[in-house]
Amino acid sequence: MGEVIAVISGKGGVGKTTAVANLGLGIAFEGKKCALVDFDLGQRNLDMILGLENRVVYDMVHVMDGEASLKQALVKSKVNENLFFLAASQTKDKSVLESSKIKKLIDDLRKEYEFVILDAPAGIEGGFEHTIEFADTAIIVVNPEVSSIRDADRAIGILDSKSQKVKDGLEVKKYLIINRIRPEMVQTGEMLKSSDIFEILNIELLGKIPEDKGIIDASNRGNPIILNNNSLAGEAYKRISARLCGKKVPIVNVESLHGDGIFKKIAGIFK
Amino acid sequence: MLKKRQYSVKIYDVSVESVEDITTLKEFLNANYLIFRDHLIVLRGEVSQDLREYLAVKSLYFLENVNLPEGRSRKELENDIDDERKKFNLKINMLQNQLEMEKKKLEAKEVELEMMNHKQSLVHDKMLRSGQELNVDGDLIALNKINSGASIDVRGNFIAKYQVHGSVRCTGRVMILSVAPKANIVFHGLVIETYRFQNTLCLVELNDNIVSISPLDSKDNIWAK
Ligand SMILES: Nc1ncnc2c1ncn2[C@@H]1O[C@H](COP(=O)(O)OP(=O)(O)OP(=O)(O)O)[C@@H](O)[C@H]1O
Ligand SMILES: [Mg+2]
Repeated sequence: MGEVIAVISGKGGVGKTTAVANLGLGIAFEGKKCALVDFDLGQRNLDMILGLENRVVYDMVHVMDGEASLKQALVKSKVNENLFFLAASQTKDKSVLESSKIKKLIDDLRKEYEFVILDAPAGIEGGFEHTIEFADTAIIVVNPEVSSIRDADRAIGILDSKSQKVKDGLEVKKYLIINRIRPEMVQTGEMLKSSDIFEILNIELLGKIPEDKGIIDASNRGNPIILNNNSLAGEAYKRISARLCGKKVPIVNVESLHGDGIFKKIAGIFK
Repeated sequence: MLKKRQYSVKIYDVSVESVEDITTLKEFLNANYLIFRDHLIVLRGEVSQDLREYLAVKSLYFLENVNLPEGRSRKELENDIDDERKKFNLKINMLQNQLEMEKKKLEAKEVELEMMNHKQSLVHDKMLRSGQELNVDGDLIALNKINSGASIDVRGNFIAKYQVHGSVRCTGRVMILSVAPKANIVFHGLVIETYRFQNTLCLVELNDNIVSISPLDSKDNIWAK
């Protein structure tokens, strides 16, 4: 039985969808079968970041309503055959989501895939609650800023009271990803330190991702940054994927790295 | 409008059965004329024409064979009124006693309720995250963090292990806590500026409506010694 991971944040625009796409690929490269599901109804971003938007024929709601089989609706990645993707419905009507149907969908995916990663919408309303409802694990993505941390804290609180696992008396595993760290701003004290962040949120740190200008272009071209071997953010996603697959990879202190390439260049000389 | 007046008249009520009685009565009235001049004389029995004429000549007021209400003497009346008053007072006393008893019962109930409420004390060891609320009727010991955006409402005393970042409303006797600069602390309805905690663990008390805040590491503090 696969592990179902909800990627959540509370605050919007912190990098959930980017993380889902990159971690999906990372896990696939680790040799594990992985399905990504876009729960951001009406937005549909994940297909673009994965470069799969023109391959989507059926979406999640088609599957839940029995109009298409899972097999028909799942789109295979162009890059790695371990990775599959299920699109969000374009409808704005969020009432199409019903707990029983979502449970069936997730249970079916769980049987086939070692990892099922759900991309949550921004906020903590209906769509968010459906994303966390049947998750075994939650990855909380934050940016090193107060508003993001507070919203994440709120989202964790809801996760701890509304998820089915908690209702069954079990615990939902919770991991933290700190995204868009800008080393120079942390060093000058303008940006929250990682230690302060997990002091507040009190959940296990899964990884730190530096700010990377290349991400926007990568997303626009549908080539997630993890495919770029010269990106610090890409490296960070690789390490996180390996950790999710059970490998012991030490946390790298991205605050002390220099994203402008100096560090890379020096490292390159000694390779 | 109805014209009315109430007054008392002395009544001389007498029965005449024979001619001798009439003679005796005449003699009596003659002798005591001044007294009976303004009495109402009520005659019972065989009243003769002769007697009627006598009374008319003398201008004495009289009635024959009429039923008048049972008159009573002043003494009797006063006794009656006294009796009524006593009964009334007794009733009031009884009601007052009853009221007092009910009041006492109610007070006892309130105290009991208060005590019951204060029994709902809590040791809370989970983290309180943004948006989460905790209401406690009794005392609260918080062994985990209280994050920014979380809120606590304690009716008893409050002790926090970690620095408080969220908001606390407390109406107990004391609080023992340290607070972050952006925390929101209200003690008995009074907002306490966080700088007063001087970034250290403090004992907060209410003395004569003034909030006193004393750092727990100060030398004259008895806490934890
Ligand atoms: N590490 C990073 N460095 C630079 N830009 C980033 C990084 N991570 C994400 N971004 C950018 O931030 C923006 C928001 O990212 P993304 O769409 O993944 O966020 P999201 O949390 O899914 O948003 P939403 O809540 O709206 O779904 C995008 O433009 C993305 O390219
Ligand atoms: Mg998104």
